[in-house]
Amino acid sequence: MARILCLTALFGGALLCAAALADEQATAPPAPLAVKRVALRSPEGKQVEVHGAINYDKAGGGTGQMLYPAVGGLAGLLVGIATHAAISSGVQDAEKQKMRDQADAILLPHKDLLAAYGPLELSQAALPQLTAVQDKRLLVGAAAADADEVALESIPVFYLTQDRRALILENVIAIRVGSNPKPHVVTTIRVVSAARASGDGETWWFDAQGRQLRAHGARMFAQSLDIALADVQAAPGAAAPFKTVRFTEGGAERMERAQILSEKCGQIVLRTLRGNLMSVPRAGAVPEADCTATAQG
Amino acid sequence: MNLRLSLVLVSLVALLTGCATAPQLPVAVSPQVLATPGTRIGVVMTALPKVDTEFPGAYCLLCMVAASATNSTLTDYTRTLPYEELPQLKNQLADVLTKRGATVVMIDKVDFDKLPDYSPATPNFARKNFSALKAQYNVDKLVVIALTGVGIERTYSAYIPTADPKARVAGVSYLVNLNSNALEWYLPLNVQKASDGKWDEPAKFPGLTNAYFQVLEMTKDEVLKPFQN
Repeated sequence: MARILCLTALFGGALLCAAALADEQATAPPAPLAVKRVALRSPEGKQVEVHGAINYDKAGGGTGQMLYPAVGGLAGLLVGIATHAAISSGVQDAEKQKMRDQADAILLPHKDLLAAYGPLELSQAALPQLTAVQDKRLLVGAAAADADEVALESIPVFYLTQDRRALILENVIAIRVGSNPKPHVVTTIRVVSAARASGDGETWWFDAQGRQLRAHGARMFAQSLDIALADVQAAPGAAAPFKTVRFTEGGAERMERAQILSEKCGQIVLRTLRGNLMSVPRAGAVPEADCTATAQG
Repeated sequence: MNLRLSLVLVSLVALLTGCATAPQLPVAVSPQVLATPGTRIGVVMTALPKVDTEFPGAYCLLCMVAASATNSTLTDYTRTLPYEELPQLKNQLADVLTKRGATVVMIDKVDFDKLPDYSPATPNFARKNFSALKAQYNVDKLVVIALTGVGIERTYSAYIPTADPKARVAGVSYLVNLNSNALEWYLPLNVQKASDGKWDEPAKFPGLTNAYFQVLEMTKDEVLKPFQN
């Protein structure tokens, strides 16, 4: 059911799909998969979904007391509590929606540019940057993967940090063997870009028709697919211990309780407590010389 | 009538405000705290509270029962979470102070309830009179780390939750000059972190667990960073 929901979901339902699919995945750890050929299906939708990054740490928290009406005995009390619950739930939902709207406000000046940024363009730009396999092609629309191909289906959602210094990709990826209706694995990959210099300016991502947004978006999309393919091919080994890992997200320091899987060019690949994967810039990391060329925007 | 009313009002104001004590506002570490090399500083940390859930706002008896029952799975899980490095916080602070040139004396325990009150109560001065500790431990200043809440908090309004649960560490950390009883640093701690994504994921609550370990690190940062700069 979760798979059907996910396949038919619009981009706005990406998080719901991720949660539903993650639950499904948790029941059956997948066996390692040999990947020779890859067919990348272009994500559905008219435009790439981009939001302002949001933080719910300050959401809710009021402890105001409620006096329930002393009428109607126990039934009256229950009605009073139910009414209070409905109001409280509505207030919390409205607060979160307001926070989402406020977070998205940084993108309003670039609404037209984002409307013209489609998932096919993203996929076409990302495919050549996919390094996990050399034999790769793009699937568009209803085209089916060959029986010996591994099909990659994804729901990418980008977030721009409020300081506009980093781009974040959350990509829900389903990996199928051929046209098998049941995915071999469904995973969520989060990729955080290295922080831009604070003096780059607020429109750096959107200048020249969004050149940096498009370039970084395609690279991060390809990186998320590479990470998913590497993970699905990896043989199970000794589990690394979980620790609290610090990384940067724009100008801010963030943390994640995770296992460190690898580190290259200042980016660490982590497995989170939910079993999802992240590629994040290590706090204070200086990229090695051979990484500099690929890191240029 | 007016006189009687005025007297009643004056009495009422005196009664209501006489008991109230203005909360101590944060005090930043002044550069003079570690200006003299070899300053003897005692470091003490109160016993850590049990890792647990709290439901502020669910104050009536039935509300408390309802909140506890609704969140019983979360509470059972929260109680299994470790302190990790939190008990070592006072040693980490001692290392930082030593690197800044202080002579640190580790103190296992101070019974703060047995200290006399400092009178009159004055802003930016400790409420208890710490002066006796100067001779007892041969220190000039004392740093206290007192954590009062560690775990997961969910706010309520009577029976109804007003927010998703959040990981939280609460308490206070301060530095008292034992010559003057002045607070040379005072930091109320209320470190909170929400789950990234949904929170209601029994039995392991990975989102809230992630937030919990983050607040432990953030608490460490809040206590140590003022002395690292």
